[in-house]
Amino acid sequence: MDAERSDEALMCAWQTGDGLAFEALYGRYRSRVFRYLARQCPAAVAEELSQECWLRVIRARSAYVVSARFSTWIFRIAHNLLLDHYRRADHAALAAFDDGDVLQAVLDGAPEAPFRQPEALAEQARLGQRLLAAIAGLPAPQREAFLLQQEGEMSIDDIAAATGVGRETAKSRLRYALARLRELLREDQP
Amino acid sequence: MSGSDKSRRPDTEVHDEALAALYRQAARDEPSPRHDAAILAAAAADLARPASARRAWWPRWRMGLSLAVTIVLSAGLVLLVEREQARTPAGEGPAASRTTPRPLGAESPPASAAPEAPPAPAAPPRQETDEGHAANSAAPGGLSQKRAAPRSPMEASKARSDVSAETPAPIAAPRSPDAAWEEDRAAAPEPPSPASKPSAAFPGESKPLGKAEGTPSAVSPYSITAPAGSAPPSALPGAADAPGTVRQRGAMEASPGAEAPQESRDNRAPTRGDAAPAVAAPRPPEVWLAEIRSLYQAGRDADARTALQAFRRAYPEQPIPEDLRALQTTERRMR
Repeated sequence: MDAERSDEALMCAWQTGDGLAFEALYGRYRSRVFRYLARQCPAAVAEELSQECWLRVIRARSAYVVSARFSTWIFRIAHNLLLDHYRRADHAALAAFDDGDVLQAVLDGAPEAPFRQPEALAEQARLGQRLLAAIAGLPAPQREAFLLQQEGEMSIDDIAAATGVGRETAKSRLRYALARLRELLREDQP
Repeated sequence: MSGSDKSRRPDTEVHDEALAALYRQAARDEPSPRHDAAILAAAAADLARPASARRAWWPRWRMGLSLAVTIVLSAGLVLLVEREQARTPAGEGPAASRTTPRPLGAESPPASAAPEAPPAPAAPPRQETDEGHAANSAAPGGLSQKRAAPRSPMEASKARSDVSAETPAPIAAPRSPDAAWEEDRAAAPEPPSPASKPSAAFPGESKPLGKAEGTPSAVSPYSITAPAGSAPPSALPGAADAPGTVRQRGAMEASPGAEAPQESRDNRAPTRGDAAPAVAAPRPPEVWLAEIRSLYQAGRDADARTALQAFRRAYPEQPIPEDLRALQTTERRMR
C-alpha cells in the first residue's frame, strides 16, 4: 500500500501520526541520501550528515507543508549539510561550488565520446570502481549534479531547485560531469 | 520507488543511460544498521511526544511577551511625556523658553548673528535723544524680558528693524526687489493715513518715531538725503548709526545711474519744508507708482521725479506707466 503512495502523501500520513509511513519513506531514501553524501565526503562524515539530515526531517514533521517534491526537499537539506561540512572542513570544495564556471571552462574542450559498455562482468565491476573514482575526482558542483540525477532521480529543474542555482547552471554542471566521466572512462579503456 | 518518481523521466539531453547503469551497479553503499536504528528511534520518539511538548516554548509565550513589551513601552512613553510637561511650565511654549535667556538681536534668523557682530558705534546725539533705543541697547536684559512676552507681528517687525539698524547691513549682497520689499516692509512703519500724507513726501518717510516706544526704525537704504535741518537727529536714529545705511546711500550716489549732485540739490529744496523728506523705502511697484502719480498730480514734480528715479533704481525692469513718462522726459531734458 505504501509503495503506491507518493513521498508527499507518506510525509503527510506521518504528520498525522502514521509511524509506518515514515518507515516507508525512510526505506525509499535512506540509501540514496547516504550515497549522495558518501560520494562527496568521507564515509564516516557521510553517515553523520545523513543522520542529521533525517533528524531534520523528523523535527520538521509538524511544520511540513507540501510545497515541493519530497525528494527535492530532502536532497536540499542534504546539500545544505554538505555545504556546512565544506565550510567547516573543506574550503577547496566550497570554493569549487562558488567558482563552478572556471571549472566548467576547463572542461569545455572535453569531447563527448560514446561509452562502450564492457563485455565481461569482471571488466564491468572494474569499470564501476573506476567510475566511482572518477566521480570522486569531479569538481564538487558537477559531482553533486550527477549524484542528484542518479540518486535523487531528479530532473534538471529539480537539481536546480535542490542546489539553489538556475536551470542552465544545473544543466551545464550535469553536462560537463557526464562529459568528464565519459572521458575518464574512455581513457581507462585498454 | 513511488509512482511519482516512476513517472519522472530523466532529461534526455543530459542523460547517459550506460553511465547510469554502471553507476547503479557500482554504487551499493548503504547506511549502517546503527544509523537506521537511530533514525527510526528518533522518529518514534517524536511521534510518542505529546504535541504540546513538541512545540517550542516561545510560541506559547509569544502573546504574553508581546503584551508585556507593549505595556512597558506605553508606560515609558507616558512617563516621558509627563516628565517633559513637568519640566516646561504651563503657558510657556518652547519658543518662549528659548527666547527668554537670549539677548537682544538673537531672535530672528537674519539677526541671529547680531550678538557676534561688532556693535555699531552709537552716535552720541542719538544716545541722548533716542532714550528708548539707548535704554534698549544699554539694558538688553530689560528688553529681552519685554520680548519674552507674546508680541504682535508689528512689534516683531519693529524688533527686527532694531537689530538691522544696530548691525552693519550687508551692502554688497544684491537683493531682489521682493526680498528688499519684504525686509524694508518690516523695517518701515505702516503707510500713513491720508490725513498725514501731506506732511510727508512718501508714507515711508513719516516714521512714527515718537510713539514707537522709542524704538527707531531703520531708515530705508534707499534714502537719498536726510538734510540736517529737515528733521531732528532723533528722527533718523537708524540712519545715524547704521553704517550699512550710510554706506549704501553713498554707493547709490556713486552709481552710474545716480542723479547728479545738482539734481540732488534740486530735489532737496522742495522737501525741506516737509516733515520727513527723502525717498521712502521701496514698496511694491504698484503702490510706489501710485504714490508717484499722486505726487505728480499734486503738482510736486520735483518730488515725483525723485521718487521716480528711486523707483527706477529699485525696479529697473518695471515699465513706467504712460502718464508718468512725462516725468522721465523732463528728467532727461534736465540732464
